[in-house]
Amino acid sequence: MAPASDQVRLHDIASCFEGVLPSPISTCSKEGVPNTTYLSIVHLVDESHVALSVQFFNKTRLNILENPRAQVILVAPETTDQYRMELEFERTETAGALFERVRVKLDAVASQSGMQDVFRLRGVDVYRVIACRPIVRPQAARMDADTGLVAAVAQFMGRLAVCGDLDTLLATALEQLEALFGHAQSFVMVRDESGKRLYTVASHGFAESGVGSEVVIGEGLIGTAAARGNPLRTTNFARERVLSRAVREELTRIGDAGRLAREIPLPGLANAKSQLAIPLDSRGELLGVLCLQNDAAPLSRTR
Amino acid sequence: MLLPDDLLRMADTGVIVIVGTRDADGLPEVSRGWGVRVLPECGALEICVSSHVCGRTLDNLANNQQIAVTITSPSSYRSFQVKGRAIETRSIAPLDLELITRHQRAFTDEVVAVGMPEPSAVRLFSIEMEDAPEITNIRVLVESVFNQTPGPGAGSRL
Repeated sequence: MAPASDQVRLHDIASCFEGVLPSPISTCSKEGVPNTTYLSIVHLVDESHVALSVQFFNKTRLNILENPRAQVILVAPETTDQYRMELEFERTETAGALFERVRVKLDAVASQSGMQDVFRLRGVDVYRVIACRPIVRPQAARMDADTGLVAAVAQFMGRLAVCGDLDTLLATALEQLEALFGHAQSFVMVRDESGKRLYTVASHGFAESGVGSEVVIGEGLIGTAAARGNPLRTTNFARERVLSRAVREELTRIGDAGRLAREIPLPGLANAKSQLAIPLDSRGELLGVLCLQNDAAPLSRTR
Repeated sequence: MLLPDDLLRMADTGVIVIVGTRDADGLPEVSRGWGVRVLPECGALEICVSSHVCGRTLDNLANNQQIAVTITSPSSYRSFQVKGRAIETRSIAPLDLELITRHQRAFTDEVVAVGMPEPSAVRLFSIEMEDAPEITNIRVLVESVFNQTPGPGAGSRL
């Protein structure tokens, strides 16, 4: 075990809390029987608290209600540095800002994969972080944080300011997202007249333009981001797809496939690995969504 | 006890292995395991852990033998948890090293297929195993097996 001085600040390892790589967790029953499983994501609450979502009443949850201690391994996606975090269960929240933050993300993923009746958030368990230490000495080289970002934003705004019409503005914006920020695939969807759907008006970096493709507001990742006015990031689609298939097969096996709804096709890249959907609004009214996709590495550091 | 055929088949692939133990006060410890070998004729399985990254795992086993091992296929999320007693720990033999190397290759292939960059997969493994001065093999006498595939059926006893 590393000495106490090796304790890390949770905000310094924020990428561990983006759900790119799953976190192993271990708990123990009051009879002394250990239990291990995986968490898709550990949510960072503040410097001394994290939260885990409760969808099912599983053994992990039964254990922490009778013995509140848990231990979790966090993995930093950009370096594969690992951290061991000691936790003590504090409370369950079933409403409020934290609950809503977790629910929006879960609902969006569930609705994209047609499993809104399966993955329903029952609560958010808040744990106090007793200790968080690197398992081995962290890699020295980390990503340079936001170097030159302010200058790039100024350049970006300058290029948008000279656009004379909407089509040029959208095309320039998407081109410059790649040139200045490295986002090679992006598209913009706008709200239709009925206010129920979004349709694609501009795209950049795709083999086919995708112009005209639609999503229903409130459905799937993009539709949920639009409906809730919250940016939504998916950091590892490949894993989401595997998880979704596993749950579908499991429900079919136990004869409960009736709870499954249709999967919603994702506009854009067929093999997207990560996505960020950002609602665009003006004076509180939804105009559309800007969507960034990536087929190479997960968008783990996008802000 | 009789081990499920699926578990036997999966153990030879690039599975993710998680080891859970607890100390005398019930404090849980979590660690990764590598180089799985299922011994169906003994109702047992063996896994290897690296002493410099497994925390209190080996101390806990010396104290109370209680162990849980979750084995998950990264490409299907099919998952089993076995619980039992660690009846023996020993330094690794050449066969264990061979299993660990084979596991590394299969693990890298499978996690890369589900989106993990190859250098990250290799580094995750090498930090745990290749840089390890000391690797320990743990033999687990299996007392119960659970379905751990995600979803409402997770946790059901097999």
